[in-house]
Amino acid sequence: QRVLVLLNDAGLEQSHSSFLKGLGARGYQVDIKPITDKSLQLKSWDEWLYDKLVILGSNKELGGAADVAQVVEFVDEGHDLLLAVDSQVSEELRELAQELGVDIDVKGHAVIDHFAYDSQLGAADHAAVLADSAVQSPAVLPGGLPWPVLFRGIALSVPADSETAFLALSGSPTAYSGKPGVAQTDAKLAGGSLGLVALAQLRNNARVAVAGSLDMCSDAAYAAAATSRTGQSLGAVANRAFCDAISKWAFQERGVLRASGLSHRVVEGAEAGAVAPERYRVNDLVEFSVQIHECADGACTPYKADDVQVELQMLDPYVRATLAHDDAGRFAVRVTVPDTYGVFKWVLEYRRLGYSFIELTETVPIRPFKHHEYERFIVQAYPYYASVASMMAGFMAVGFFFLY
Amino acid sequence: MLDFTPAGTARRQAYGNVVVGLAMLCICVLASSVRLFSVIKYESVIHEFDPYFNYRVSRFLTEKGFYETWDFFDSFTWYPLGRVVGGTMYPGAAWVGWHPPPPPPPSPPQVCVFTAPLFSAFCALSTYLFMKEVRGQGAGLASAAIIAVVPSYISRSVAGSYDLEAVAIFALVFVFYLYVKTLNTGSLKWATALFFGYLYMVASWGGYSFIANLLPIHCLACIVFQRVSARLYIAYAPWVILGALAAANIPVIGFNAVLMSEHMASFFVFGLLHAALAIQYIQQMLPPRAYSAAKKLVLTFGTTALAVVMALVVSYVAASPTFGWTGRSLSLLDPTYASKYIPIIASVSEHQPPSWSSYFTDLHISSLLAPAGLLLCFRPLTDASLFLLLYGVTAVYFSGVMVRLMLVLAPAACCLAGLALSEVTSYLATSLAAAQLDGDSAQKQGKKAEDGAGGQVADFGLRSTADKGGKKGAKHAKKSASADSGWISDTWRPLPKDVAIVGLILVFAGTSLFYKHSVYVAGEMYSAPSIVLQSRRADGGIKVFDDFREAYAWLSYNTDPDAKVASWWDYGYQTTAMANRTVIVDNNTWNNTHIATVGRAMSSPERKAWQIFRSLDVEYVFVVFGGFIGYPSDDINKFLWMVRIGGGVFPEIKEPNYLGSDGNYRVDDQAGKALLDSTMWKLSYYRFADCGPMFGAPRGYDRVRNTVIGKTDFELKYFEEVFTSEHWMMRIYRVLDKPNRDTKLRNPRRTKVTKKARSKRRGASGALS
Repeated sequence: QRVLVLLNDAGLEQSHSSFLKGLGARGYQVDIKPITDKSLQLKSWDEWLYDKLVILGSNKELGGAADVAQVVEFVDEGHDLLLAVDSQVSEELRELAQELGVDIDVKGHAVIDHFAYDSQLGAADHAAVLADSAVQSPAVLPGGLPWPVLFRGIALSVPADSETAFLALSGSPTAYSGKPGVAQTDAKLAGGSLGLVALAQLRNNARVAVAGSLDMCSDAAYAAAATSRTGQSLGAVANRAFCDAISKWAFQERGVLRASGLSHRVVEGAEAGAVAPERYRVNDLVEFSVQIHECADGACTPYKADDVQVELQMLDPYVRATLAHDDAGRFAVRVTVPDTYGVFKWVLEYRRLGYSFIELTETVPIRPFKHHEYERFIVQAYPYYASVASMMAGFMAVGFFFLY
Repeated sequence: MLDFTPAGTARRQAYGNVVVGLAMLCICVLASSVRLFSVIKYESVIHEFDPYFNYRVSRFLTEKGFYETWDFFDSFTWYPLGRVVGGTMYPGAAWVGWHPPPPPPPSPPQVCVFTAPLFSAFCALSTYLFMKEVRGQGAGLASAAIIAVVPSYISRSVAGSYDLEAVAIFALVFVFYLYVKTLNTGSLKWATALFFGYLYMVASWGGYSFIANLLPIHCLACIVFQRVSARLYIAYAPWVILGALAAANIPVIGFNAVLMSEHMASFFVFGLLHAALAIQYIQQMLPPRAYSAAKKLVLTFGTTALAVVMALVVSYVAASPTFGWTGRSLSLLDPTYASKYIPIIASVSEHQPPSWSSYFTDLHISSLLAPAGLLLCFRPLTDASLFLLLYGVTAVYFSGVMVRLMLVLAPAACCLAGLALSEVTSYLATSLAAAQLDGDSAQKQGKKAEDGAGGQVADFGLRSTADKGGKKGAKHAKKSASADSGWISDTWRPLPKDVAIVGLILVFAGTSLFYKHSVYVAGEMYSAPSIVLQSRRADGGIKVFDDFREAYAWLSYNTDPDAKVASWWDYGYQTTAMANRTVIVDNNTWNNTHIATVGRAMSSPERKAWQIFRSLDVEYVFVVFGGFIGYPSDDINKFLWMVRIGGGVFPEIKEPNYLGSDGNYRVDDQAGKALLDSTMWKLSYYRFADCGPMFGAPRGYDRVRNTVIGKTDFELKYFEEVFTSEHWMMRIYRVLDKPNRDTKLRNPRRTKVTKKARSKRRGASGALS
């Protein structure tokens, strides 16, 4: 897969060599270009030239044929993007992030923390912060964060009701966004809602990572050791592991769920045993099943979760059932379809933080009983049968006496 | 000289029958061929809206068979509710379109297209039989000749009009014939036939309830006028029981056959008939004194029992909200009911009361002759003519309630007019013959000539044979009139010869005018399939507007087979039949709430509409728009009905908001604000101002409303135009997906990007942004 890396200046190739080499080592064909390259091209005619895009950006704008709209289109068509910026961020990159659902604070601001800063690197402005509140998602960070992440950069934020974006790394309760060295009494962005690294999983399952810091993934940060405000050594920093995790997640190497083999069949009913019948009959007992696998680091293993649900909907859900799995990736449940006819659909919507969305729908109309499928000779009808028989007998008798 | 020996009479009878046969053949050919204008002028297509449903069911029937159709659950309509078609349709018409698989050369459309003309011929035949039973061959021929071309009936039975009414009018008249035949003969054989005829009628059309009430009325009238006889009993009593069973066997009626008030009259009169017969029987059995005592006793008990039964019935009926009547029936009894309570019934143009002029257009000379026919029913008053009389009177009432029921009046008017025409003609012709008998002996040649001419043209056939049959009828009338000591005149006097000739010429001229008018109306007014439109160009050529089929074809070729298409309900049947896509609502208006939901979406602002359509899984929305070429029955003109129907269920939709400040519905700059914001407005007028429909007209000039529209330039945010037909009559939009990215969400911590950067953007950035 082809990765295009756009660098704000040539020096970044040196300073971030571990990160870039890491991409190459993971099997990507890395193409490094300056962001302002006049001949920059993301697509030729209708074909995208790259599969993934990394922008290590700052104060410069996109050159050549690329612009915000094109990068957004790149993502909308299912490609992934990793965007890292710093406090000198250009308006164009801010706009790009905003289009993707992540808001970057204004140029010149930085994340400041007067309590959780690194006393070696951030003694002067308290802007080299140590962040340790990372997202609790095995899909993004399988083992959690063993050490704090050293971070110097700009603050991010994510709309509270966003369904796509979330914060992978957020500020400590004492962090805020402001101009370094300037006293301020109020901060628009502070505490846990202040984002350091934001991830977005779009509805087409394309992934975007936005990091507020360029330095975070530099060779220097990888090699640094964290020292607390009081000068106490906190051991290593987790930057290498965190940057790897973020780039792996963003490039679909982690937390990818693959659903396949959706199938449904009638267990008991008019067409017992029919697989994927054209329609069910009311009150049929049916089985819904689907295969779900989790793909990480190039290998897919059966997904194991007890919270996968499926609904049978006609405007509203009539049935909601939790699927059971057999440890081999097959999720299944048996459901009695409702006693209501109509055009129903199976809806499996599975959204878990960090995992790719699963949205499956399968329309299956439910028909009423056919005229000959109703129960016959029910007990309640016997009085009527008796009355009919007695009526006929009576008519015969009367007819006989009348005529003979 | 006329030969009055028995042999001569028999020969004349035989000649007469041949002439009648030839005349009926001509009438049938005429009835069918006058309905073929639509195929000749346009093409062999299914017309309008409802026929498309019948066509679709016929196709299903052909492919899947009878039992599958009975249990047909249609998941393509009323998404996501679906429709149990087998249990909610009158299958009579669809049965006709069946043909054994594999399809022989006349493919289903051809069978369906020509069903209506064929059944019109059958209808002419059964009218002849009916009137022959009522009065005689002359009246039969005259009525058949009139009904063959009466415009009212043509309007619903041209080729391609594969509608319920196309077969049901035949069934209606045929049931009347069987009833009168049973009434006249008192034979159980005909009563059985009546049952089968009624079964087909019930299967064909909801109008069967007209029969279900007319027969009891006739029976009641017979009881009141002391005309109770065994023949009446044979005709009526088996029909009540077997008819109710027949009706109950049609799934769409089912238990309604005994539960709904429409059917109560027949059972009530059934009881009354037995009571009347019992009284007759007792009167025969008992001496007069005992009889009067028994009468007192029975009356006391009978009244008490009746009161109890009535109380029970009333309490049952009062328990149901509509007093046991369906909405459609109530709107018949109270013509203002629908417009007050059921906008969905009132919104259909054929449910409006007819204008006076439409009586003349649709019935022409029969509307003049029918009153005379009503009078002639009394001369003499037989059971059969009493039936015709009652049929005529009730049909006139119903036709006044809604235009659609002109169709029920048409056979009545034709029969009455035919009766009058035949009586007048036979009177005039008999006068002429009498004058000739008196005068000279040259009449033999004249007679021959007249007979020869008889078979050639239906119109002449009518005259000469009406003369023959009429003579018999007149003789019959004379006899019974003198017996009845009739109230008009009991002595028959011939008219002078020249008066008779002038009279005959007038009758001939009148019928000719009627034929001319009918053929003109059939060709020009009632043949348009409404799916294809035509207009004359300035150079005399014909311009064809085939936008509907163009758009449906687009849908069927360019959208996913599972796609759901929303439109106003008028176009539902066509969309399922022609585009083969799932629709939300269609012309079977069984679920008012669902239609109101679509009405609400159309009347709401874009965002709200988008949410509603999304919740219904709608992928495409189309509107019919006439402003470009001046097609008046478009969705903007229907829009107020959407508002009313939507507002009837969702009170947030308020009609006054859609009206201009002066309280009128208008689309210019005085238009109501809600109208300008509505989705219907936007989908109709999107990009309209930019296209300049007419040379020299101002920008945004609407050719239907003849005004410049109130709001010209706007963008669509939640819909995307995907197709607009050649003359803009159909505009199809795609309902946009949920945005791929959450970009425009509220974020108080956001600092906006400055304008400078934005200006560099070019092009759209995808869905909904």
